[in-house]
Amino acid sequence: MISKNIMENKAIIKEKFNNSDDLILYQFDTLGDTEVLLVYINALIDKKALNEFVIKPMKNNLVSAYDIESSIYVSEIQEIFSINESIKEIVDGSVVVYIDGIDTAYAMNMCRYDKRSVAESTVEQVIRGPKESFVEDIYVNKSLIRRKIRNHNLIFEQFTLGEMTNTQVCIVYIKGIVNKEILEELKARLSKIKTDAVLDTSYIEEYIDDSPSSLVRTVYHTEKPDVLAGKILEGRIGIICDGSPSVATVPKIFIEDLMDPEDYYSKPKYSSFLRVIRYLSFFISILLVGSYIAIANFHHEMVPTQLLITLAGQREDVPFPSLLEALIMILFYEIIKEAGLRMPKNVGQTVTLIGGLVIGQAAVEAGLVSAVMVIIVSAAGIAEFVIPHFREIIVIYRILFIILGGLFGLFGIFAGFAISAFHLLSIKSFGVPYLFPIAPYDKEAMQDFLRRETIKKMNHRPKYISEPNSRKRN
Amino acid sequence: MLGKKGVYLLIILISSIILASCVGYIEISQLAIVTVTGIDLVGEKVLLTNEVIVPTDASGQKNDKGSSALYTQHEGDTIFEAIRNATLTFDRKLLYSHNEIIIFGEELAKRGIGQYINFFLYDNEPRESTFMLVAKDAKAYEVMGINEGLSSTFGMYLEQLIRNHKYTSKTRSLNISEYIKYFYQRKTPVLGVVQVKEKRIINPEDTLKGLNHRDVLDVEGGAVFYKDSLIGYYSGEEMIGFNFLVDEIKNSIIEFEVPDQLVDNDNKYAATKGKYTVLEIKDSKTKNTLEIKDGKPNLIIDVKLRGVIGEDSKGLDLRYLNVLKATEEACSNRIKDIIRKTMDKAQKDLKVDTFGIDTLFHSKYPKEWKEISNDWESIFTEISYDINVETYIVRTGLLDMPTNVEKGENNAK
Repeated sequence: MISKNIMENKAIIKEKFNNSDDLILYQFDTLGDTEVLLVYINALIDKKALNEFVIKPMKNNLVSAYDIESSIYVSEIQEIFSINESIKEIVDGSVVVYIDGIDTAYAMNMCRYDKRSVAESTVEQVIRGPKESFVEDIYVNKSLIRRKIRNHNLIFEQFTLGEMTNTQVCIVYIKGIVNKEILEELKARLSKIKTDAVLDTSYIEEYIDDSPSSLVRTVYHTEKPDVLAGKILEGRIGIICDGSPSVATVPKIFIEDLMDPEDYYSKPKYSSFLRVIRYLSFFISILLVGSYIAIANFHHEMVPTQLLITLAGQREDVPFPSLLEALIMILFYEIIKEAGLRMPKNVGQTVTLIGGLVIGQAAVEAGLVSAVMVIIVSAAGIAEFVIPHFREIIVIYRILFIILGGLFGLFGIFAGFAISAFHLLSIKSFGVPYLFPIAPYDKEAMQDFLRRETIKKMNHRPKYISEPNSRKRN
Repeated sequence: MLGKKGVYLLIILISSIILASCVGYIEISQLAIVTVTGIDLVGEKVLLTNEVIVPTDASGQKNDKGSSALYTQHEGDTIFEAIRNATLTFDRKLLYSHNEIIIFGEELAKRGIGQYINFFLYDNEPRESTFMLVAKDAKAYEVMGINEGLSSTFGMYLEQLIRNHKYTSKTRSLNISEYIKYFYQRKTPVLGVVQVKEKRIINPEDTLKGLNHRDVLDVEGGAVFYKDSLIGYYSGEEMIGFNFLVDEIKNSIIEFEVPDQLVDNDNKYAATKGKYTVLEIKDSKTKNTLEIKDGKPNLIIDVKLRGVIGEDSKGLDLRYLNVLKATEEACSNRIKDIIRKTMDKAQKDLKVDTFGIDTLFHSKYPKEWKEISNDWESIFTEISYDINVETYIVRTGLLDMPTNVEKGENNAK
């Protein structure tokens, strides 16, 4: 409870904040001799506005304690009845006003701090289409979404997660399109989160993930407002986390990772072609190296004669078995990739140079690896970058398939493939089968699968994901 | 998208790959790739000659020996034993999956090849698409190693020669699976042949070396088998007739003579100079029908072909219908002639039915077949036949008026 005596309040707050230096407690008398206490955190407040629109009118005009709302020039003002609540407001960046003689405090949102401005996404790049991306600040992100979907049915629901960090988390959806069961499920899962810290959306993802032990993510994330708008217009729910530029969406199905916002900004036939390229890349990046080893070691009869002769010629001087050769190559490829990602940008060129020269050229010339293996591994590596969302799966599965192919031949490859397929079939994301629309098969959703239909013809919202029986208007 | 049938098909395709044999891990660098196998007899033992590819090194340069293949020879009582004996003298395991050609020595072919192809069907490595050839007048290893083509090895050179059969129809390609099919149906397969021929010296360097000729391979002709033994050869021309009879003509050419004294509408001679006209066959269809006339089987051979005039030394002006008709008829007569020659050879000389006429008989007259099937070869030699050939000239190449219509005085008749 808030005491009527502001000196008491002052003492409690000071104690709660452990006399932290950036806590400002400003006490003054107003025109009507009312004693007022302003409490805020120094770094979070727009001081100019505080002086101009709060302190000045209060000193000049405030006569009675009950006039406060009419005398100051702040729109976001809120009555507070407990000390704990006021402390929460203070750490959120509000100015809390305690007035002597009443047991109510007022919190005014005057938050202002430095934030990154909206810029082009560096992760998800497009040639055509909106280029802006989310930033770390949740208010800016909300505004970006509101500007995309100007509709009163667009709903933001606020949560506070993280016992220590008190991070603002917000779910966004469109009433009438969202599937209510999924919405309830998501809220239930969010309310169950008990954690100290939420520093990024991925923290929340791990808590609400359907299969946390699997390599597959059942939560999608994007940095682009247009992508998010597209997702929530299909009935998905976005999860925005303050401090993170990536926004998560649920439910997520397999094919979302193979789609690209630009699919919808290009001509349908061209997009369909690119989709095929992406599907191919997915299989190439996972299976190519393993299949090559399987065929080269077990199924010599499958290789055309001329090619076999070439392969034999190249492998002639290589000292290692091809399984080991592939594993070494993959290992070095992953090291170079990781180095390239983590290195400061100005030394990044060195990595490329050394990586390209040492692995590519010198290793072949020294006869440590065959040229074919370099080609195969780099082809698989390039294919991986076509579908960045699948990076986590690809890297691990590729190594698994290399070992399977090297030990059991194509039999191992196909057994592994079947097992992975069964695994994917068993996964659901918020009740939606992960391999939808292949299994279960859905004719309408297939219009936006391997081939993208014209937007005019795609007038069904995806089954399971959106509110049943809702139709797009086209 | 796929649909149910497509999905089933996909499952079958995938499982066929899964069910393929998977045991046996061998690095490529431990294998010796065999491309040609020659089989001969030495006394009672089998002599196996293999062409083995020498893998070029990583940068793609040829090895020091200058050739990219070497030849290994092994003996054994059976083919399998000979192959296993190879490991005693040759360092790598022979891989037969890429064996494209089996060559039988003439001596072995005459004694019967049945027991020697057996291995290539039992074992899992050799392919059924391996071509079979007979080395005419030679041991198998005597024709091996000759490479006068652009291919890098003898095996690839010979394989291309076999694959070229459609351009002349003077030879044929027959692989193991086809051999088995013919063998069980007719008991008289016809294999391709290969022989060594001499080629004139062209390169001055060879003259300096003191060579007076170089060897070149020739696959013209066909080797006729009865049951599994070689009984004779067809010549190149007889093979054209043979290919017409078994309907395997593809893109070959026919040379024929158009009769002189043809006149065009202005009563000028239309064809006077030169001798041969050449038709390039675009497609050809042969239909054999058998009927019993007065208790005797009579074969009717209907050939229909379409072709393009490719060369003409007579100066035929094919814009005139009568000239065109006469040319077509001349071509048809020539084909009849070729077929008749082949039939004569089969009936009088070889005395075996190499064309599958017994199958026709069997399917049309099953009851009668039972009575005469044991006696078929002697009935075949007496069989009468009619040949009908219809030739259609669809185009006259790119010219409609040949360059040699106008003739010098000395040549005009």
